Amino acid sequence: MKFPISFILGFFLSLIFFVITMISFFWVPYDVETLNIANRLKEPSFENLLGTDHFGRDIFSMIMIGGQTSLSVALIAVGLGLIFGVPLGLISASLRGSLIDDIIMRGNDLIFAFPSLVIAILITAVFGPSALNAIIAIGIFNIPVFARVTRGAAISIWTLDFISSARIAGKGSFRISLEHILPNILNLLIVQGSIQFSLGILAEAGLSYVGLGVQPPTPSWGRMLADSQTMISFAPNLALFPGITIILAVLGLNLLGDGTRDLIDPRSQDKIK
Amino acid sequence: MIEIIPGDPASFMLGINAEPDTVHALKKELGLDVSKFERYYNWITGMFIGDFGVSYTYRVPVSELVMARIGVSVPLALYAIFLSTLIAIPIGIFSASNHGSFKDWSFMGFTQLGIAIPNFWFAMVLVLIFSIYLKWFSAGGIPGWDKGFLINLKALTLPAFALALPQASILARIMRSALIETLSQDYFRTARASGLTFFQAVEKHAFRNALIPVLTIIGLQFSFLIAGAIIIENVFFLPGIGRLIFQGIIQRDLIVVESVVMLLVFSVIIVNFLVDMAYLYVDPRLRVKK
Repeated sequence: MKFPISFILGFFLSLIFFVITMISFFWVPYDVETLNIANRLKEPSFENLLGTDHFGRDIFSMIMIGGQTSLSVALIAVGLGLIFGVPLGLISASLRGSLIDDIIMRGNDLIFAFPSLVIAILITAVFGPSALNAIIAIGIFNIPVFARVTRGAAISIWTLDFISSARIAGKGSFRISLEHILPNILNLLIVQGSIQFSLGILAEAGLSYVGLGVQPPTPSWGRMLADSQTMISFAPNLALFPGITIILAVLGLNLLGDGTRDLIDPRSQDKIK
Repeated sequence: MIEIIPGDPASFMLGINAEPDTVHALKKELGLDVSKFERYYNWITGMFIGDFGVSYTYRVPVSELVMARIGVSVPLALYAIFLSTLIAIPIGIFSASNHGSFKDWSFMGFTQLGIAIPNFWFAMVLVLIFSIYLKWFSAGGIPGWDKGFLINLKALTLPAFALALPQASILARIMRSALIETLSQDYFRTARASGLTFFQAVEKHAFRNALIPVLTIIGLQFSFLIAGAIIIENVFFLPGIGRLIFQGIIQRDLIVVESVVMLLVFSVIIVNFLVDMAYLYVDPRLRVKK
């Protein structure tokens, strides 16, 4: 089996991101909640791999812990989308053309019509900025995405012969959806999941950047960028490193998603690289 | 929905030491003393005649606030769409025509990068390079349209570019894959066989056929653009719609937030409708009634 380059590259980038975040749960080079003003705005060195910020905190340690925020927010948000979106899509597909299908899909359109970040900002404004509300805000927009992908893919499976056989064998819509449709669209959901995951990281960074994500002193990549903005003229490192981290993490996940799709469906390799 | 934000605007404006009488008087002035349902009814009915109500903090009609800021946001959005199309379509065509080559591969690598870059970070990097080091552009703000067209266009260039980058990346990829699809069609081979050069054939036959998915994406991007604009306007201190909504949230100016969100949703719907209309223009086959 030949793996596409995008898959290999994406896999290793995502793995590095994942491992570093996991390590940060047990160990970081420096404590990020102790301020050490004497040691502030240091250039990158062997002691502080990526230098220190205006409070003397080690940037590398902050990026490591910031990964926890990004990882958990994006992961749970994708989970929310899967838990609600997939069943809705399956129901819609099994009752395609019915009133319930219409209601579900029009509901989806409604959420789609709202610019996602605007609503995310609204939700965090209503319930106060916190990691949990960021998760809910990002998660809500994953629901219609997964519902659509699921419905579209499921409908094409429903027309296949083996579904008719299952029907003749006496299985109901619920069992068919669960036992035959779901396993056949799982690949697609995994691909979409990795893309939504990377979008979730971007969205979380955006929310934190405008101050509506996790609150200080918990480090997050978006807020590190916001903090660095006023110091960009004399300390560009502060802005550079968290930004590059976000890019690499998102890039890795996107490549992983694309690569997985190519792996599953060699025909798509040509079209979408 | 905004009604449930903790804290009411009147008490927020007057501070924690305000007398209950004062708070009540202000509430009356702002029309906050009637029930929630009555306020909702007034708001909905007012919207149809362009009356969005009066902002609690600015004390001017919301429609005035919005009108003042549309002059920044709409040109910014149009500029960004223009830039992203300008960048994306040549790259898409170039990549598709060199499909599978190293050039194609490296361009697609760049678009992957473009999608992964958070636009506010890209905005900061642009400021760092072009404003701080090269001093070509100012780091933010806008002089106002009465000061001349070009000077404003220049002020909007960096923000529009920051907004356009991720959109251009997505668009270039879509353009490329749509074009590759049409390049493998029989009619394209026939066009080539009839003596057209590659680019003539692309221009006459392939481009139009590849345009439908591209249009769909441009339409979808509009709502991303709006979301992006909220953050980008904050990076560049542009007095646009995005900044208005953001300040509205911070100051608990709920009437502003509600109205602007409604306007944004409305504009997304209109843009999608225009995109549907554009299909008919691009593809005459769709004009036939079934």
